[in-house]
Amino acid sequence: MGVFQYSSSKHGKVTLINVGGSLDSETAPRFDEKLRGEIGKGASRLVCNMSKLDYIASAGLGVLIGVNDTLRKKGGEIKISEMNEKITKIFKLLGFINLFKIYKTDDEALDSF
Amino acid sequence: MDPRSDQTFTVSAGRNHGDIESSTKKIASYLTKQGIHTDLVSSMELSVYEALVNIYDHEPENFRDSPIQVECSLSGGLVTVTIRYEGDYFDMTSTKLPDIVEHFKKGKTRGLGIYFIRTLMDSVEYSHDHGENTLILTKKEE
Repeated sequence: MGVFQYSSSKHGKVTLINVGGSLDSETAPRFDEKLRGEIGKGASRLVCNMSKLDYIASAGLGVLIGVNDTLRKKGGEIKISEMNEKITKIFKLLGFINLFKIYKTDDEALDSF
Repeated sequence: MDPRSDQTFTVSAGRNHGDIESSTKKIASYLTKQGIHTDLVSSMELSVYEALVNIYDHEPENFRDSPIQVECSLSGGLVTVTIRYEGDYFDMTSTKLPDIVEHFKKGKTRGLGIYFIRTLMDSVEYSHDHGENTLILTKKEE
């Protein structure tokens, strides 16, 4: 927990986000700020790569839910790619696996828009 | 009889992010050393973290200097974490859980931490006695 990594790149009309480390109550506000920054720059189609995400608490999931709601109102969406086994288990246990569109690879997620 | 039944592990957490994080990690590390399955360790780690954050976020300022006691025990195939803290009455076990898909698809995130705890644990008990709160999280080993 505590460590937070973030990077983003443009792929046509889609923005690919790489998030790593931990999304907990301390780091989630920074994640929210970063994603809102992307939206502020005009992004409405986001793919969030979670392969390097070690931990997600309710605050982190809350950011994804809130940002997805904002994007949907703009006709966009946030999709998830390369979710690792640990995070997949947590999503399944919590019943959140159907809340987001999840893809095995970045390419599949990017092409789905 | 579970040979680990007489063992307990206790940590004291200050009401700040650093202490909450390190205490949660210590509980997870203790459970891992006791041979508890990684899935159960993850569920308990996340639930303890959410409970501590909930206490930190919602308790009034006058309790900020009062530490939170977190005790972990193993007995009869049950992993139990007991969290004791001073503070106002708040029974998270009585809060109605929303239909998650409908609730969260609308962008609402209130109650998410409580949802985490109650979904991941087999049982959550709460009691309040003269300003002393006790929250007991229990999960059965598979």
